[in-house]
Amino acid sequence: MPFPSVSVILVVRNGETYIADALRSILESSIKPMEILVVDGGSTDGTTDIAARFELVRVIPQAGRGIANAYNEGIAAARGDLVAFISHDDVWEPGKLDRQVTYMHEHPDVVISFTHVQHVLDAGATPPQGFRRELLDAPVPGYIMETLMARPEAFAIVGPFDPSFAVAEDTDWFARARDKGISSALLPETLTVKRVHGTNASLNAPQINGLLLKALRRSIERKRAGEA
Amino acid sequence: MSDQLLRPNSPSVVSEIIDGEAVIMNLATGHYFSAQGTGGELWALIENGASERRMVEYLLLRYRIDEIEARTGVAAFVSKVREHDLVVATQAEPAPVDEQPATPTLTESYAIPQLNAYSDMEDLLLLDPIHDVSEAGWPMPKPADS
Repeated sequence: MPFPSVSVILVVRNGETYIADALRSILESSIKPMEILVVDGGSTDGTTDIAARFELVRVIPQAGRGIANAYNEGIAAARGDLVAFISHDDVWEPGKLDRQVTYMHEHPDVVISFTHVQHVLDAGATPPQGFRRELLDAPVPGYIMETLMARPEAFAIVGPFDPSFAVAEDTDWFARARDKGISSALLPETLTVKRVHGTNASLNAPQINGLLLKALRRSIERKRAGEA
Repeated sequence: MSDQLLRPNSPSVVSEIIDGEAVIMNLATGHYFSAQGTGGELWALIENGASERRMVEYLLLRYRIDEIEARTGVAAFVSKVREHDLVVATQAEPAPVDEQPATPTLTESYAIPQLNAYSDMEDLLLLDPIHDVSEAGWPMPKPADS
């Protein structure tokens, strides 16, 4: 079986501060992606200029609005046998693609995989209110978009990200994937570094709790329907 | 029967009543809960601060049941929410009457208050993924976006 190709999707809006680090980190693997799709939600800073300087990058101006929609547009444009995601403000460890693509190649039954993630506090930053400081102490299982690698069939089975979630769209998608019983693997290695800085907010933030509760309720309803 | 006021164990416990169903999340344990029907009604009382006595009075006003049945249902429900650290005792005064749920109308459709617990998302909820909220990166959309 030929080695699978991979599309990397980075959704961003006004991310000029960090995006070069993220793009550089993608390329620090022996396995190169076939494409890096930068879905730009209307940046007004230097984000797209910076992105366009990197090899393999294709900037896609987002047609719709919101982060869930941006993911969906990236997935629709992706041509790889696998799709991976990274945030503009996070970095992959060198060799992430080597390890995770190899794993997916050797485990054709696995539809989505994750790695561990290390949270790192940005220099001079204070964690957002409600952030779990213990996350800074040691790597944890990274059930987040930035470690996710998926076969395109995952999105056929689970469906697209739900644009009705302004945030927590990832939690909703992961919950749906679990409720569908999709084959998932967690790699033991720490291959993603998540930057904690002053401009992100914890899920503990009151404005996000409501969306998380909405995602959980939907999962409860799916379980209830399954039991019926 | 206790007159001690109970309220949600915030900030680690957050909840919302959605279509009469209480959806409760304990961010400290990563577990989440659902209470429908009478359970949702009791949780709505707890959200405003309520004693077991107040909950029993509510059920007696709302349903054609005797006091023993009401007490048993409330005691079991309170025991469950305590077991999962969803409530704490509070010294605060109960919410003014106009913030309490509307005066119930008597009905016969009583069902024992239940709390359903789920732990399948523990690793996800304990991870507390962070999300950008400022103009750098992805903003929280304005209400029109959602």
